Amino acid sequence: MRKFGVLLLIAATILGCQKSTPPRAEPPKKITLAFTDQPDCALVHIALTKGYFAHEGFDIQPQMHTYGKAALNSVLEGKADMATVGETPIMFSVLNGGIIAIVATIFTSNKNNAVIGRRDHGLTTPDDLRGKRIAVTPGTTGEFFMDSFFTAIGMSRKNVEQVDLKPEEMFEALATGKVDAAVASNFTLIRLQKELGDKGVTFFDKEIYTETFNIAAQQDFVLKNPDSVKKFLRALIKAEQFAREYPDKSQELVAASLQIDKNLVHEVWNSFEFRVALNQALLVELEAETRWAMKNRLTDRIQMPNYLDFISLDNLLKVKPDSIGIIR
Amino acid sequence: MRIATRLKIIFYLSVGTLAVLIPALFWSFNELKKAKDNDLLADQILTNVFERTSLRDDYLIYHSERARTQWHAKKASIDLLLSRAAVRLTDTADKAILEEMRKNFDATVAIFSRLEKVTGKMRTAGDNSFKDEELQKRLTSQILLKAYGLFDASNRLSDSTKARVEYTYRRFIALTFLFVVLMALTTILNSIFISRIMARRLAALREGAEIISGGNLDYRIECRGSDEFVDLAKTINSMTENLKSLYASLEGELEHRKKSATEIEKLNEYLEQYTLQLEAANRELEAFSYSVSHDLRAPLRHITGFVEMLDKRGTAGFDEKSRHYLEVISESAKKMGCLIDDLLSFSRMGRIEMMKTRTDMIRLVNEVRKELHLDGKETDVEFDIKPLPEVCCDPAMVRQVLINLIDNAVKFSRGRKPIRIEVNYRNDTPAETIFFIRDNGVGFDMKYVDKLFSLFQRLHSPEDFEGTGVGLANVQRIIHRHGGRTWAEGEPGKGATFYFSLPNFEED
Repeated sequence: MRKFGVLLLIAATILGCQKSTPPRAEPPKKITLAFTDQPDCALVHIALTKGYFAHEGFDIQPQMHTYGKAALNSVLEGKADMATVGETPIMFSVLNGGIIAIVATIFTSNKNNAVIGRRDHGLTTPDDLRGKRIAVTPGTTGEFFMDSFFTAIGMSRKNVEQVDLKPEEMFEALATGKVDAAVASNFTLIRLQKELGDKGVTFFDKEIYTETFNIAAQQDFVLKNPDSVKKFLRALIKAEQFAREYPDKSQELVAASLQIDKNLVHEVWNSFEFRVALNQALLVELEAETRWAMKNRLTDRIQMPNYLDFISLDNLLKVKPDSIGIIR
Repeated sequence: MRIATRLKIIFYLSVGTLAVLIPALFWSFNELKKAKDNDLLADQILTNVFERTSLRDDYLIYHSERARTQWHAKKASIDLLLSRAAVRLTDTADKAILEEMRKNFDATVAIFSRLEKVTGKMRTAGDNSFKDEELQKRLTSQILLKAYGLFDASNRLSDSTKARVEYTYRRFIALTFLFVVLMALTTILNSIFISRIMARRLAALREGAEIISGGNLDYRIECRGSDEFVDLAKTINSMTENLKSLYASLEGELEHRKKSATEIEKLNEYLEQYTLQLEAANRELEAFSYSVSHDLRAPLRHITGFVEMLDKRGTAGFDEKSRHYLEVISESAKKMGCLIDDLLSFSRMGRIEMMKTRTDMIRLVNEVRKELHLDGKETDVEFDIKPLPEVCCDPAMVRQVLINLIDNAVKFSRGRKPIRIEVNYRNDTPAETIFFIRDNGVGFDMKYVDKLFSLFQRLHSPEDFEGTGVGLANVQRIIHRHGGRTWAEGEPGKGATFYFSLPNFEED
């Protein structure tokens, strides 16, 4: 009887040690992701390079853009499923009637945007910007930063000549003297600084603006694909953990992914916070920018939208509950 | 493995378990305390952040100096608490949260400071321009944004420290449980283990002992292992082996003894026959001796009679030589008469039937003294007669023994003044009583001791001491007939001691 018991125990142990039946293999889900080649998308680049998306069962179709607004437009146009984008384009999209959903913030910084100008164009202090031609990408975080920056120094956009340019057009415009200064974010900013060298001058204001970069999608997509959204977020959370644990390796991965000098990444890395979260700060920022947009008549809307309707909390709440800082 | 070693190992294991678990418990308790302290610190930060937020709102609405001062005081408290937390919190995730809190806190401090300046400027200069108002709003948005961030991070830190408290508490409980379970398991397993071994071994020993005690000396107890029970089993096996050898040798010895007994039996039979033949021959010899002695008496009486008749008729006609011859014939005839008397007495002692009875030896000695006329004060003999026991013997025959020995003692002590004769006894063994008569006479040389009790043997010349050499032979014959022994000790000039023993038989 005792021997039988021992045999039963051994059999149970052997059976217990057997690997569980592997899940039925499903074809990877294709997701078209519109994102940028900027550091605000570092977590996406890490997740792609480390295969976190593939591990979650995604076949990511990358759609690279130079700035977030273009990426969001791709989603709004139905060319992409999800986008990485700053809060300003989202705000404008909502004000324009876009039915979008923010599923997570993946980047926060107070020093990503700056005004970079040419000394040889008479720029030494921020006040020297008065009357100058300044390049900016309209409808982006750069525009809001510029306006805030001007407010902080007692100016307004009326005191300058605004030249609307895409980020990739700014270097040439600044180099050829078409503009005296430009509102740029990384990596464009750091590249401009390197190229201009002593000729250039950069004005930061860390206290006047906080930039966020977010994952956004059509609300319809989020509602119909909750599992995919959760898996997508899980892959980004893994990337966040990797970035926190291995910052040097993460910088190398991002540099390699974007095919840029690792030193450029390294120089700006500590100015950023890579965290998958949804904070009350996002709401504050969106509302502040909405007030700004309405005051400057950048939108026809006169009523503040309820941005809670455009933030999808459920998915992130399920995969990373402690990252929800929005008051519910 | 030996039971003692097993017990030692179990003991050391228990001690080792205690040595590990007790510090682990202390460590865990300490960690729990630390976690609680950290949680308290996180709660303090959260409370301060909340209070500072209220003061900020107070200031932003009313711009009161009191609110501003309180905000700064609270800022200092939070700064201190964050610095303290940076030292105390070691977890990587907590450190990341703290770093985030510190960034947000520093940002709120910087923005608030800027906001203070803008507000102060607006109040002092009365400048309520659109630009300053806009800046104030922008800064307020930023401070709100950072404050939310700080509040959110504070909440997460509080959650994290609470989770840590919960985790350390569970770990403490688990360790305590593990401690109890391990100790209980150690005790139970120890008991089961030892009792199983002991039960198994004892069963084998009992079974083996029963089989061996049943007579199977070829059985061996199983000796697998190296513990004390195995030693015992080996000892029992060895003992069984020895028993088997002993048994085999005893069987051989028994066989040998059986053979010897058979031989002895045959020898006894032969001896009995021989004894019977010898007794018959002895009887014939004694009869012959008696007959000869008896028959010799008649011619001897004739010789003695005729010598006396010659002497009465007168020996005047005899010359000196003839008278001498006549005296020699007379003396020799007398000696021969004595010799024949003694021989007849000796012969009689071997033939008369013994009448054993309980005999008072003192009384017997005193009678002998009286008979030998040695009880008077006029004699030169000093007797030292010790209290003697009663014995079972033929009193007439033992009386003859005492007469012979005491008479000899007096005779061979002649010339000693006084003559000292000691009559005493001793009990060397419970089987017999030894009597002895000691004198202070001429003694004898021990090299002739074997001849003392032989018939007609004399150690002294008849001129010195008269006698026929039959007395001691007679003593030996009487004592032998009683089943006792005779022997003597002596030294020339220092006296002699004659011993005889009588068996301590009950009366027939």
